[in-house]
Amino acid sequence: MNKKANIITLFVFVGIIALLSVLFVFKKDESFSEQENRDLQTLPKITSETLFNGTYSKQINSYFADQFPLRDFFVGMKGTSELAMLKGENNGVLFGDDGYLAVRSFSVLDDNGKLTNPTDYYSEKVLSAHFKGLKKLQSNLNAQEIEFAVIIPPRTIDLATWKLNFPSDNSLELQSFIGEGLKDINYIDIFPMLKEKFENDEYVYYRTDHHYTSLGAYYTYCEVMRQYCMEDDIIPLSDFEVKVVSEEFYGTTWSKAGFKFVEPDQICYFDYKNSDEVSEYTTIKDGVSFKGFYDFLLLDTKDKYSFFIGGISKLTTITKTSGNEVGTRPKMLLAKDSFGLSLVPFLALHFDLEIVNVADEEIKFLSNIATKKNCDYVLVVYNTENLISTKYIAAFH
Amino acid sequence: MVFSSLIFLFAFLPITLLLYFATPFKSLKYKNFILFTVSLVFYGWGEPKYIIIMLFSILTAYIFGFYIGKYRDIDKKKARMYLVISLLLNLAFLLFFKYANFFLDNIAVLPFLSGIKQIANLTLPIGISFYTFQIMSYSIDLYRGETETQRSFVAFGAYVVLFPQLIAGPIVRYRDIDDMLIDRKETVDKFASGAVRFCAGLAKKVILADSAAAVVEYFRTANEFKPSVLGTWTIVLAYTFQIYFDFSGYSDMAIGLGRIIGFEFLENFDFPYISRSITEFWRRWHISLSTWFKEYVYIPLGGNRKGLWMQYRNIAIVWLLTGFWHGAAWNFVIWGAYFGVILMVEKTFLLKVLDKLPRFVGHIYTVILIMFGWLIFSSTSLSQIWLYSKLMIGINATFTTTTVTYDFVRLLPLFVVCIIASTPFAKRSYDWLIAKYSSAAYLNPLLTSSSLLLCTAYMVDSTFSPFLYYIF
Repeated sequence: MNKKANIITLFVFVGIIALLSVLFVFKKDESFSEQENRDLQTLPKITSETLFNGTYSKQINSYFADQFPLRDFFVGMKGTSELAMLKGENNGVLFGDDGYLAVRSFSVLDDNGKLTNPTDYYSEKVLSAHFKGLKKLQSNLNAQEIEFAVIIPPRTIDLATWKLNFPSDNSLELQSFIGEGLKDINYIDIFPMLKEKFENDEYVYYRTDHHYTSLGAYYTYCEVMRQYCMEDDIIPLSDFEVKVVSEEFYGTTWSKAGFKFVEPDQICYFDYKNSDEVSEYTTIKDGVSFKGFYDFLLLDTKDKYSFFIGGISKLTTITKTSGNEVGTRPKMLLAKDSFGLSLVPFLALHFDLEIVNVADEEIKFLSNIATKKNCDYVLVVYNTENLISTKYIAAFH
Repeated sequence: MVFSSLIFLFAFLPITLLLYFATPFKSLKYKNFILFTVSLVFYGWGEPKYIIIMLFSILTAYIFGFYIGKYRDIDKKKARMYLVISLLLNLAFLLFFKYANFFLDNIAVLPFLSGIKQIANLTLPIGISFYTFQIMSYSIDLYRGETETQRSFVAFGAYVVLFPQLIAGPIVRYRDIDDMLIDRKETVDKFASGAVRFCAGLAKKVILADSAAAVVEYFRTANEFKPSVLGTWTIVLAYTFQIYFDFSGYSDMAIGLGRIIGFEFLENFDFPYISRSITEFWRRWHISLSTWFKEYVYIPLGGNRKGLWMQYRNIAIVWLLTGFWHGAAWNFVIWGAYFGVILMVEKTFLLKVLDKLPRFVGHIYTVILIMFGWLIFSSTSLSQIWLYSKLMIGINATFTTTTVTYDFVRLLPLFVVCIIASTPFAKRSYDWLIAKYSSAAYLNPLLTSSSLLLCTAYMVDSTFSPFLYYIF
């Protein structure tokens, strides 16, 4: 028995516990995690009810985890250790070549409409219900001579399987199932196009976030224009000036992954100046108006993607307020999830926009809204992850 | 509260150690009182209402203990009566909370009783299966004259509610620690070895068992969409690791914590997966439970001393009870019966056959039977056992999908670590190293602190995962 070693063991054991406990006591609670982009559990209040039904002990457990000293360090330590065990992923996020991160598994709706634990698969029944909703929507809109189209942006995992050394057949199956199910309607299948660009090493999807980049959004915009037979109006890439606004974008996937060593992404926007006119656009986001399409203040927060039109809102309208064609441009109703945000600056060069969220309760009467607002076009942008894990689209009337 | 939670490690434990060691009061009475109190807090953390049931059980056994002790030498009959009352009162709680709804469910199958409903909101008090058995061991040992009446309520209470083993064992027999309740010494060496043991157990639970649990959950979900043979085998394999590291990790932590405060508990696991027969497996798995049943059921029934048929009967009774102890559901009964039958077959001839065959045959035979046992154990219904058995042999399933193969390959390193950690190899090498080079003992503080920090990292970044045996 080595007495000295035992004394050291005793001291490191007691020392680590004492040190972290003391740090915990003296550390100020935070209500929000920048790195993870989520609210943290603050000290729960004891009531006799929460104490006796067990809620209190659950909350206090989250409180300890969320407010733990050096939390970001420990989260990173766990991520690194998972990679060291050769698991290749952490919290369901794959770590691929060039620091590409992708969520591989999602909680999806199963055949009974219940959310599953994270999985690679999806329910065909759920998707078929969505297809039916979209078909109904298209026939309603076409009856009113409103042009309709839908985009289902793929997930990073669908494009990047080869960078992630992950089998691609689930992704291909899912994308072709969607393509097949929507072949009778105006479905803009951007998957093959994006996949090709991605494989040519174009920066079309962020490495640390689940969205497409401004470049990916530009290509998507081109497809939309083609689908609406407005090919001649497409503004060529070379006419834009690319402006980098952040080199420090740590996206949603990065927050989830815990791979703290992964380099951040770059956010840029495509600025278009037509030499023939002095144009100006006004965005009204839930009643607050500003010039242009971007909220530069949000670049100082973690949620930098919200820079595009200021992020999600209940209703955003964008109109051209000076320049040619003011007041005579076609009007588009855009029902979208967050993938719509970075697409808007391109669409707004051609359309006056009414922008709503697919996930809002009232949106299920989308064709009524389109009529009421005198829209000429309706575009639905709803990404693959949301499609397999929510019910909204199937509820379209 | 569970050990693998931040609140235990960084609030409960430091406060407990502070109250226990860093006070001017050094008497054992004070220390037992502290243990008794903090253990009640530990127990009541999730569901404080059940403290009352536990205290009532303790009080009953404590009071009847005086009568059993008083009469055991002068009036055996009276002593016996008090023993029976005491046991029945204790068992009543266990039977009611654990088995009432199961019983009602099953008699409701009868046509004329179909109106019978479950008792609403009846949840199992945590650890009741463990502490009831501990309390019973006191009453029985006392009656048998193997221990003396405990006159201090605090000392007896501390024995039952001692937080290291309260909620998931080991099931400590009273007579194994009765001396330590009145006289024990905490030393630097014991503290250090307890800390090492605790951190080893914590790593088993947080790093291995929880990883395996995630595999089980992941593949189960995948199986609902695309059932595959390899996927199903992976579920059973991962569950085999999960339950072992979960439970033996818990026992390690309990033994380690006990040592820190001066107690020595008996071992509860002895590398069960290296067994060469199921008979051997049950000598190595959850030893404290097997010992309890052997001591208080099997031997009193006559054990193997009354002929072969009586021995079979006794094995059958013990194993049905063992199954039933694990839970009030048919899969546990079947699980118990399954092992009962295998043990009888082994006793009859198979052990002799296995002895003559090469060693690896015994290992394979045992591992497969154990894995199938865990399949029964982990199933929520009989149809699930049937479904998974069919999947394992490839009925209505593809052999594998690309994703399953991908995950299986990706998880191989984890499985290899689990396999090595299931054998005495690592422990023996480590012991050998320390015996050979005395300076290797400095690995202890190094490994202990890194494992503690790493486990903290896993706990900070994890959803809460309670112990499997927590529910029994």
